[in-house]
Amino acid sequence: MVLKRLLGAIPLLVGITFLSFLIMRLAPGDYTSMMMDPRMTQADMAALRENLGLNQPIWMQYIKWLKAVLQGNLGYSYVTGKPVLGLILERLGPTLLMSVVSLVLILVITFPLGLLTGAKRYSAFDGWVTVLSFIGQSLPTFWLGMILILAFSVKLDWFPTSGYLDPMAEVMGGFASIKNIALHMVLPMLTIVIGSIAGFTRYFRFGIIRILNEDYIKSAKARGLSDKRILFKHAFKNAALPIVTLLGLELPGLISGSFVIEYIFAWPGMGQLGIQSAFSRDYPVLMGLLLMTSVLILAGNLLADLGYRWIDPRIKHS
Amino acid sequence: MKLSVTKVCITYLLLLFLVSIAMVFIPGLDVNAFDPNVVITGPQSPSLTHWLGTDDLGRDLLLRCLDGAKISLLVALVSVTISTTIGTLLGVLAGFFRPLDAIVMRFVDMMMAIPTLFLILILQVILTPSIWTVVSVIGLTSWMGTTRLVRAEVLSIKERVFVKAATARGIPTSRLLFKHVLPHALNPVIVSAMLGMGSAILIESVLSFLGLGVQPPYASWGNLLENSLKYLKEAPWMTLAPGAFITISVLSIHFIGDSLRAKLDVKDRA
Amino acid sequence: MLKVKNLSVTFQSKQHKVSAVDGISFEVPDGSVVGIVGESGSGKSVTGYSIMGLLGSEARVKGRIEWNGQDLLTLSETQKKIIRGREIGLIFQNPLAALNPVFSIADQMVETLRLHHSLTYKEALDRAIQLLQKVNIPDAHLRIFDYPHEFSLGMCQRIMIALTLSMNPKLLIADEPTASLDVTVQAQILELLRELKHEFQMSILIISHDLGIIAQSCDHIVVMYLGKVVETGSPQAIFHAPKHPYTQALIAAIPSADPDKKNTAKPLTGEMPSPVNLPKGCRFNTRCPHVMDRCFQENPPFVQVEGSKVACFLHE
Repeated sequence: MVLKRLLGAIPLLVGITFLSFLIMRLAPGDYTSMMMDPRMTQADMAALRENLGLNQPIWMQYIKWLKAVLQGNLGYSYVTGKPVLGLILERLGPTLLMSVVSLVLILVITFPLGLLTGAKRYSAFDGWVTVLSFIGQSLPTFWLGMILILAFSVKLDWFPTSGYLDPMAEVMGGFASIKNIALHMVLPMLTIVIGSIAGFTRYFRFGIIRILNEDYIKSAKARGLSDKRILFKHAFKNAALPIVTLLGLELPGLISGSFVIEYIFAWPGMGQLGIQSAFSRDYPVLMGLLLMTSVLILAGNLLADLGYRWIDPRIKHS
Repeated sequence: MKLSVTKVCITYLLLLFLVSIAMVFIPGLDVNAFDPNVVITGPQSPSLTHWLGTDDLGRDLLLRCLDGAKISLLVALVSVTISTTIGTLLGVLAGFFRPLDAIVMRFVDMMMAIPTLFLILILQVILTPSIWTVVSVIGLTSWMGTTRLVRAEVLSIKERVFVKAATARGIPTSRLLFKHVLPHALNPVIVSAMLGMGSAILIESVLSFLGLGVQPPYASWGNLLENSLKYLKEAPWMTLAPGAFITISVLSIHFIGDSLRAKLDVKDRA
Repeated sequence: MLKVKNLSVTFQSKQHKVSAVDGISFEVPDGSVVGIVGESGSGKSVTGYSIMGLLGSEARVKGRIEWNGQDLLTLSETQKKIIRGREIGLIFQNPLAALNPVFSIADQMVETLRLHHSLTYKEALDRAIQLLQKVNIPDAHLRIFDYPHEFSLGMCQRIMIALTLSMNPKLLIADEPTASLDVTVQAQILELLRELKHEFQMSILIISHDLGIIAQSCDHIVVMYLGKVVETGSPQAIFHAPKHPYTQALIAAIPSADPDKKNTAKPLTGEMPSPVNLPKGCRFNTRCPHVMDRCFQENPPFVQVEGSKVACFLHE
């Protein structure tokens, strides 16, 4: 069963990589030069060019390129000459930190919010949350970021405008460093969270409404169970199951969508790398990022699917 | 006439669009006229002469925002038209013709695994950014949701009795498709197209903000914001105004889409 | 003793007002089995739910529902919760859907038991196993820890019954208890209900569209059409001498296994009108083979005819 899913993902993987490959070839310049370590000798370069061969049929080029990729060669930056894979991995940390903490915060806020608005449909509370959700979904995220900087950093001076770690705090190390990073993280995280609340709340709200209409809820009510117990025990567990799926689906999305936020807040993550590379037309890095994020999303989807099957008793036991 | 949120929103959008286009024809109105004084002294804050203030080159911000409206709205409209057309076509093909279903849906899965915004970014980098590239790129990467929606509708409609009855009467496939199936499948598409417009405006604004979208001299809300970043501290109105326009416009679209969905739901169930 | 007097239920949505039940009355004496039979749209399920107070906020309920002298409709929500389960229980049409899929049977039964009686976990668990044995679940002490989807539909219905009985209700309302089950399993469940009725000293109200099972199990039958009661009587009276044309059509529609017996009844014409657009006068006037002018003007009152009550002008 698991195997079947994994096998099913392979054609998708092939498709994504092939598409990336095609886009790479669209880019101006000779794509083979993207794959070349600038420290190579002329002879090596010629050999590599021969190997990747522009004179070969496209599918052949694709396979050779894929082979190189699987060996760890995602190309070399036009700008710095460093291997792309290394650059990306360097930046993975801060992006992962931001994305994971944001996602956790989002879930902590929206799950109860969704539950309550679904249980008290059409109440004043629900109405307000819905209106705020609409507004949240209509805000351009980067603009929200700028406004938050304006309000909390420029005017109130509660948080730093941008960056990751102040040099002084870095030197002090330990807890001071952590606190400093945390301070830097607040505004960008807030931007991400506010922008995402709407969608997640809607999702959970929908879920709980559907669940509350199920027969087993009516049956519980018919047995005299209190509304509170029904909501927080019977409905809760059913509503919480999809969270596993959400984690797998949303985390890669947050990672790959981080670039605008990282740009505004000068957060040294993968996203900032992406923007910088876009501005400097550093195609090898862009391609490497595209490939990595696509694979991450695919992996996330797969894990989400498998994870759900694992925890839903209906599927687990059959 | 009953005042409803939806009516207000539709009025707002239409008015905005018309005013923006009309401004092109007003003789003597040059939105891009520099004010050399301001270039030296810096952007002016909102006042009686300039209701929303000016930008760093002395241009009236309100006029610039209104000017940008037509581009932002048009870009959204055209790209959504493209994506909806592609999506509906593929969805109908996938839903109607069994052998095509697997291929199309796999393709959709594949496209959905690629981060859309990032892909758009890269494509814009490769191509030279302009209004046309923006429109095409957004249109070519936003059709997947529509495809899934249309396919689901077609599949369910196919099973409905009246379609089977028509098939039994020997009606040819193409006629069946267009006359019988398609009209019913379009309901969710209209709502999804509206939401697509909202997200297209947001995507265009991000692209233009990064300099990879609509290029000057054309103004769009996004590229007005690109300019505003460096003046965030000294001229916050340069940031607040265009962003507010974006938010209000997208919000209006959402309200309209939501009420459309409510109306269509009732019709469908009847 | 349940006495329903002049119960009316209307549903108010933004566009329409639907009358689901209109002025019905019937009784369920202690220890008896009463069956409400009717097609979908007759309002029978709504009646059952209104006794339990489980209709949503769009429902407007009028009339009296007397349980042991108390009008249930005047009770507060807290008081209703006490009645629910402890005095009146409800079992559902789809037994699998009525059990929470993410909790084991043990969890669900123990919860209910401990809610209504003060028991420790172990005591409740033992009692639950006993109840499952009573409804003939094999290996109850092991299977109690399984999840609902691991049981067949028939067993789920038994579990539902056990769950409901754990509270010792005096009245059990069974809403289409056998609709999802195979014919053989249906018979088992009905037999089970009969046994349990004696043992637990309950009365049962069965709601069904299936005349067959109503006939097998009930002491008294109430026939509903489009929100109104058209006839009530004993099974013998209803079956051998149906008085209302609708009842007659229902009986005639039961397929007979006897090849020689000719079906002489006239089939019903027309369709059941929608509850949004009710006919004026007798609600059956659009389909009745014996319809008269009067039927379009007034609603027939109940008349007593040989031990049954009928609402039809034919019997005045």
